[in-house]
Amino acid sequence: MSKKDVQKKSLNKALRLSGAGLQMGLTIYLGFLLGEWLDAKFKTSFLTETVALLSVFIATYSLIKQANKIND
Amino acid sequence: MKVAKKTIKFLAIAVIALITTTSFASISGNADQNHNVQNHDGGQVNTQKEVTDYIQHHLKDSHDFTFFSYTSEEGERKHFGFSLPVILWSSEGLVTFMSSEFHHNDDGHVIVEKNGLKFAKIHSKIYELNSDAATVSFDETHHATNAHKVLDFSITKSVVGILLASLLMFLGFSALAKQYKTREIPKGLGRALEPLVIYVRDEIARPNIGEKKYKKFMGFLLTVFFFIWILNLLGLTPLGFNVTGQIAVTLALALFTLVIYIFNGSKDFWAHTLWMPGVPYILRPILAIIELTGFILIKPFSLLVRLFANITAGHFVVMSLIALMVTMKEAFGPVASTGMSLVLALFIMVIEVLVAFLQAFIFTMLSSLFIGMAVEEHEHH
Repeated sequence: MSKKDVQKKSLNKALRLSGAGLQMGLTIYLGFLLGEWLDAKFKTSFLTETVALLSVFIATYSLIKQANKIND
Repeated sequence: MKVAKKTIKFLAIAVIALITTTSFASISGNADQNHNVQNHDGGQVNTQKEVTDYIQHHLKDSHDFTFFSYTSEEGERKHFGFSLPVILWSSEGLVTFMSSEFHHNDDGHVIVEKNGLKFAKIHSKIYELNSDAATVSFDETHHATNAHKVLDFSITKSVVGILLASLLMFLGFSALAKQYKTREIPKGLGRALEPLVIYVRDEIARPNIGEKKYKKFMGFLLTVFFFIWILNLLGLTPLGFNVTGQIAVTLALALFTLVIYIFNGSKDFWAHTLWMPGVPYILRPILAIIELTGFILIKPFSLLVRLFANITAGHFVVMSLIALMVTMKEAFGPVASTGMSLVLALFIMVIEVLVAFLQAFIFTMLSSLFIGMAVEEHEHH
């Protein structure tokens, strides 16, 4: 495989992350909504922040997983 | 024979050039008279608000096909173009008539009566009036209060554009295919099309989908590539199509991609999506939800929005720059404003020709990438 082919291939693979930003944003937003709903349901006040932070963690984790897959 | 062919070509180019110049001339010529008078000047486009409305109207689909319009000496608005059939599924069933019956009215003041039902066109959408209403009444936010939308199957301007693109593709590619029976290297239009077909195959499909499986998807990828490209280019001609700037069209294209990669997903793909290996068990169901929304919602959504937004923005910018010669006339004088508008519009137009290709390429590229992700088989793990 020539150098040009390698470059092309890695560019193609990087395109897989084209929707990653949107996906992270949506994950965090859905987590926030879930936390808010849980707060209203159980009449607590700390769940919104907890679940939103947890979804930040999960979104980052999923992004790292996707990025690692590119190197396989 | 050759001379006759050249003459026809020349005539076609002359007609297109004439349409361009006359339609632009009618916009700039109107600016001389009737400043600051709205709605009483026969529909001239000469204020900032009217320019914005005109652009908004262009970005939407239209029920009739207008090449250009101008205001005559007597102050009468003249339209050059043809009307298209309106096909509606109303509360009483199928209703059809020609769009000319609306007389180019777009604010609901012309009522068309058919089969005992009344129809009005408001902002390029057709409404059916309630049975007791004679005219459309509006609330403060300019929504019709006594009319409702109907299912609209009309042959609109965009549908004409789609049919035209399909016809062009059919003629071009059947001519190319026929040539391979008798010759090795195609000539004429085929010589330009062959490298593009090879390009889509070798640069888009093969590297993304893989040698084993790419053939099955070539039909879709080639169709979608040339369909988007031809329609993008048609949108840059004075015919004034805006087909790939209709979100319904790009949604349909993205849905095709979605259906194709969902139904061709390999066992590995579903296993990876729903039960990701190498991850703590507690995270697997959550990641499955995230991956699923990614494949079913976010990927098609980003596909359809990317194409729609790029084409809409392109049309908006080009039309705004052409309108500079009207809106900047008072500040800079007619020569400077027209010169500025000409140079800027020409510059952006050249970029738009590039964008027309780029967006077709990106759409095909990402479609093949998603298909490639779905059909991929892993040897390891």
